[in-house]
Amino acid sequence: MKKNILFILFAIVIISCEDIIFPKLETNDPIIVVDAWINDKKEKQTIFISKTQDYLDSSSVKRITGANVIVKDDSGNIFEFVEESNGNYVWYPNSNDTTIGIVGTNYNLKIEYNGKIIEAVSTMNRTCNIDSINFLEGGFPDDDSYYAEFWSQENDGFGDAYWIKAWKNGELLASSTDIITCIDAGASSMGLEVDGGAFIPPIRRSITQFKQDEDDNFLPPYEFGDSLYVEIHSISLEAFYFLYMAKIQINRRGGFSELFSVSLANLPTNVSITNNTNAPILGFFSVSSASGKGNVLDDDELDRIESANREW
Amino acid sequence: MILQQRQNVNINDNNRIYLSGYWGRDRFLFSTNNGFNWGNKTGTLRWNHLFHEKLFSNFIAIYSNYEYQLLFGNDDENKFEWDSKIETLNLKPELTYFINTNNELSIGGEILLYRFEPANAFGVSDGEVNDITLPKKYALETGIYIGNKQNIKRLSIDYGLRFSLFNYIGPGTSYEFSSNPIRGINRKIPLSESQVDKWKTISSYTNLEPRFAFNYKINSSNSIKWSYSRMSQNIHLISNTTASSSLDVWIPSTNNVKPEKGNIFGLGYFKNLLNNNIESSIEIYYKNLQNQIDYIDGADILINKYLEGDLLYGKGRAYGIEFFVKKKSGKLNGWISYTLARSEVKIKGINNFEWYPRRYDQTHNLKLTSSIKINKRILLSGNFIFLTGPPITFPTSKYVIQGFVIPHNGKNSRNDIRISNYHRLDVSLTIKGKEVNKKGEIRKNKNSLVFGIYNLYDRRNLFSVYFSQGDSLVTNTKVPGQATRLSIIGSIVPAIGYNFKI
Repeated sequence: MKKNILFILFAIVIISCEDIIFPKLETNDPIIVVDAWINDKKEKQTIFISKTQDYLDSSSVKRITGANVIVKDDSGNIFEFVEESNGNYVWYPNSNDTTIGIVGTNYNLKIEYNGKIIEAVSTMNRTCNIDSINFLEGGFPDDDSYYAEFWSQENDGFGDAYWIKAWKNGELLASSTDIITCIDAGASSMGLEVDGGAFIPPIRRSITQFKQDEDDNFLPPYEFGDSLYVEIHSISLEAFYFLYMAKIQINRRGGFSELFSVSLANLPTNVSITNNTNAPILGFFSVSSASGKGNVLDDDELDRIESANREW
Repeated sequence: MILQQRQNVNINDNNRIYLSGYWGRDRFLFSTNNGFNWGNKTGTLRWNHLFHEKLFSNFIAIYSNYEYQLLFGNDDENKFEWDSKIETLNLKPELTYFINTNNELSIGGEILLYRFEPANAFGVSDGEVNDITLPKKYALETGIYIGNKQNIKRLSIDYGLRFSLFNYIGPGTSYEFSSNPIRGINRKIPLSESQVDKWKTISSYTNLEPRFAFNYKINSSNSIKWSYSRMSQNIHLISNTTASSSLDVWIPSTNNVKPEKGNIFGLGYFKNLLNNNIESSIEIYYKNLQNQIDYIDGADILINKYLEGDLLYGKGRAYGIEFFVKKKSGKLNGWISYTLARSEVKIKGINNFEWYPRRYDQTHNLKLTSSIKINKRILLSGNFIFLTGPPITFPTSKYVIQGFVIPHNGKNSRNDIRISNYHRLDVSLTIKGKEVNKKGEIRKNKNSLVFGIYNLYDRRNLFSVYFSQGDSLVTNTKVPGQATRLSIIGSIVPAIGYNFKI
């Protein structure tokens, strides 16, 4: 028998390193961008209209002012969005407690700007109610860390899509890892059947994110005294795929994860310039039905965690 | 972990049986219930039978099983398990007939049966089981071939023809998709699906694969080689990421996925110099390829029964010229190779339906390896490599959607920017152990010590450049956007190795 044995002692094991650079990028003529995600909540609704800017130009968003913006539903109701500040077009519910929205209704967005007619269509789909927001015993990164999950029964029937948003202590969780979307109770495509029942753990617990500080130390997802508010927004399949692709493009964490990254690719749009269909335009129009619930990690909640023996 | 076993049985002078087995498994567990693992099992039986001195047969049976598994969860009430498997059974009878000293004829057949289990997966959520297993896929490939190795004076010809039939068969589910991605959801939609019975053909492809290679010896130190072959590939690796991993998905040709085919032409001139001490060659090649696979933007590759609808097809081409010189003996020896090449694809739906380079396309590829024997026991070696930087896609601009910074490429192009070139020099010093012991006997054990330095001049080679908003959020005054360059082993690495043979 012959054995060939090789010992290797590396002074340094495989490492990766990165730094910020300033390559010269090609420029492109600015393109109009419509950022119109509205919902049936009884509060101010905003549509943003802007232009693209050079990738490495870090100045503020190039807003488009002076546009006429309306949203019209199937039954002829018109919701006029008035420019409140530079490029922000808003609609307020009036005293009758009206909201934009009846599930199953189609909405048409029409923007007139500089001789261009910009249009898009979206249907408001059904959402699901949140039964409870639970905090759980954590343990990482330290003993005082708590985790959270939301409980909701997903609608029976294939093809629902949702965008889950969370506010910690009143602040929307808005880093690139916080875009949480799913089809039905947790599928990532129409080719996966996960329907009805409670949202599956990766979605239900997606509101617990392990983030790091500047020194790469992990931060507790939740601590005593924190409040958490979660909303489920119904979205169309088009909006789901738009956000799915957005997530792939913007969630670049670097390091070894780059080995498994995909090529940069442009996002689709459901908006078009109807009187000049060849002209480029970007962005998305979506009308959601939203439901929400909150909880506070106080003494009462700690008692509930203990009595129900809630663990991750 | 790897286990390997080989067994040879000589039944008699005319019959021999070889048996071999291999079992390998790698595990990455973060905790008892969390992690992934993959493994490979193969078994080979080979029966060699001699009819008479000019005719013998070989019968080979191979079974192989590649599988991987992913596990998450904390307990039986809440967990996720996914495993995927490819099993292959391959039967290959072959006859070899030595017609005369100038002709060696071989005739054979092949039967390959494949079973793909793309995802056996279930999630348990608070005790409620959600089975998301995807249907299995089966395929049967049968082939026959004939080939001859013929010598005509200074010319040797190796030619053959293989005919094969690839059947994508039931039991399974076949899907029909819209022919183009639908605007809005940006993907092909399933129009219908049907259940197919066991052994029933869903789609079949015939492949004719001719090949020939002429080798003409001009004289004892000069020769010319000319070759052509046509190849078909019916098992496809599906991976849209930069690097491939052990968890990649493999699928057979189906009613939607056509066999990848290619015509490969090659022409080479080989010359030996200085009493055959130096070998040199120049070769050119051209490949034209059909049914090449790429992915719609945002393709979902894992656990997606509509995966075939997330694929795009097109054509490819690759061509190049290779130079090679090798010095085989003497105190200083080594080799140098240089290739000037291009590898591109043209796929409807990507890069405005124009040719674009593949991620691994390298215009220049220069490699130099050399070693000097300082004395009987000490060897100094060097290794230099230069590669053109890989092509990647850069954004031109960006915009904000719901507070997130979206990169945009105004030309809608793919892989049109090269990151910086890759080059590196490694050196090593090998000291061999003494060949004889103190008593003057030849030592049974052979050992050597190797001191090496990887990346001697500390070149920071780039793996990639990526664009992101970093840790910053969009504010009233700022839209973040940065370019980050990434190196993997971007520094000098010393190494010590100890090698011994028992």
